[in-house]
Amino acid sequence: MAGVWRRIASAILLIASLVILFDFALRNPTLQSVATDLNNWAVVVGAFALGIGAYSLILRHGRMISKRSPLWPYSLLLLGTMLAFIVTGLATGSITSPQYNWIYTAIIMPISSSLYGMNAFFIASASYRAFKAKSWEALVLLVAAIFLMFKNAPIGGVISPILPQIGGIIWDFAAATGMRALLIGIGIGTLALGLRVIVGQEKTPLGGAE
Amino acid sequence: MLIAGKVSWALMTLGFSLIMLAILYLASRKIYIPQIREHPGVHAISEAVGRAAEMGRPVSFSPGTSSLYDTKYAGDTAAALTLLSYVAKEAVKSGSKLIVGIAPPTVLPVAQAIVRTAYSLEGKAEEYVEGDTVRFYSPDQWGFTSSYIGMMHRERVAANFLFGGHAAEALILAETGATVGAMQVAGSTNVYQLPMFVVACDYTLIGEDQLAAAAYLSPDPAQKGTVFGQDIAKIICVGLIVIGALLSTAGIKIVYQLLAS
Repeated sequence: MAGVWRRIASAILLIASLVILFDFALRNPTLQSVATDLNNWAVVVGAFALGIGAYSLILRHGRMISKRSPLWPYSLLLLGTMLAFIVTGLATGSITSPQYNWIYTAIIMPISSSLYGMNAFFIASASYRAFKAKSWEALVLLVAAIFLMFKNAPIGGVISPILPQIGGIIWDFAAATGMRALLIGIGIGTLALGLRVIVGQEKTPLGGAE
Repeated sequence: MLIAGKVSWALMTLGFSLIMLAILYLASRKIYIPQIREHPGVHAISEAVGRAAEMGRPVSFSPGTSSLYDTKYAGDTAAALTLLSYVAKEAVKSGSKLIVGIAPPTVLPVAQAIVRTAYSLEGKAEEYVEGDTVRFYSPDQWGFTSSYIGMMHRERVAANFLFGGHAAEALILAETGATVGAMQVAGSTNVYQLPMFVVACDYTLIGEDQLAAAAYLSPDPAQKGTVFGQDIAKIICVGLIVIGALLSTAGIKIVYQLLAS
C-alpha cells in the first residue's frame, strides 16, 4: 500500500514540477494560472502543517507537565504564552491589533534581536579557533582574513592605503570566483536531486525511508 | 511561446536533465556504473553516530529552517531529509537516542514519517516516541535556535548534524555543538553560512556535496549515475566559461549572446 501511495505522490510531484518549470520559461496564461494555483495550495498545506506542529508541541509539553519532568514549569510557560497569543488574536479579531503587536514588539522582538546579537560573540570564539595557524591552510585563512579586516575597518586605510586594496582584490577575485563556482555546482546539484526525486530514485523527501 | 532571456536557460536545463537521465539509465541497467571517490564528510556521519553510541549520549539532527517549498533552499531541505533517513537508521542500529529538531511546519510530518519508518524497518518501532523523537520547536528562526541550543546543552549530545537551509543561526548552532563536545557534520548550499560551518564543525559538506550525499551513501548504482551526470554538466559549464572568456577577450560575444538569449 505504501508503494502505491509513493507512486501517486511521485506522479503528483512530476506533474507539479513540470507545470512550474514550463511556467518559468513559457508565456502561457493557462499555465500561469495553474502554476499560481499550485503555489497557493502550497501555502494552504503549510497552514495545515502549522496545526500539526502545534499539536506536536502541546503533546510533548503536556506530557512533560503531567509527568512533572525536570524544567516542567518552562513547558507550562510555553503553553501559557501560546494560549495568550491565541486568546489575544481571537479577542481582538486581528493579528495587526495594537494588543497583539505589543506582545510581539515588547517580548519577541527584543529576545530575537538579543539572540541575533549573540552571533558577534560566537564569531569571535569561532574565529579564534579557525585562525590558530596550525596548518598552511589555516595560515592562508588568517592572512586573507587580516587583509579583509583592513578592507572593512577604517584603521586599514589609516595604516596604509594599499592594505584595503589588497583586501579588495581578495574579495573581488578569490572570494567572488570561488563563490560563483560553488553556485554553478549547487544549481546543477539541485537539478540532479530534483530529477532523482521525480523519477523515484530518491524516495525519502516524499516521506518514507527506503 | 518562450520568454525572451530564458531560452538558453530552458535548453540547458533540458540538456543537462537528458544527460543525467541517460547516465542514470545506463547505471540502473548496469551497462555503465561510475566509480565515485569516497567523501570523508559523508563517511563521518556513521562515525559520529557510532561515537555517540559508545558515549551513551544522544544524536541531534536539524534539517534546517527552510520549508519544503522554499524558493531557494527547498533542495537543501530535501537533501537533509534523505540524510535524516540514513542517520535515523544508523542511530537505531547502534542504539543511540535520536532527537530531531524541526522549525518549518511543512517539514514536520515528512520528518516524522521518515524517522518512524526507519525505526519500524529496524524492528524497533516501540522506541519511536511521538512528539519527542521528532520535536517541533518553532517556525520562528530564533525561537527554533534557542530551543535547539537548549536541547544540545541539556541532553549533552555527542553527535550533531546540521543539514538543510540554515541562515544566521548556523554559527550559533554549530558553536554550541562544539561547546558541548559533539562531533559535528554539517552541510549547506548557503555560501554565506558555509564558512561558519567550516570553522565550527568537524566535517562540512560544501554545496553540491550535501545534495549528492544520499547518492554517495546509497548502495544503488543508479543513484551514483546522477552524480556522474552532474560532473559532466559541470565540465560543460566550465568549457562554456573558458570558451566564452577567450572569445569575449577577442571581441567575439557569441557565447555571451547565446546564454543571454
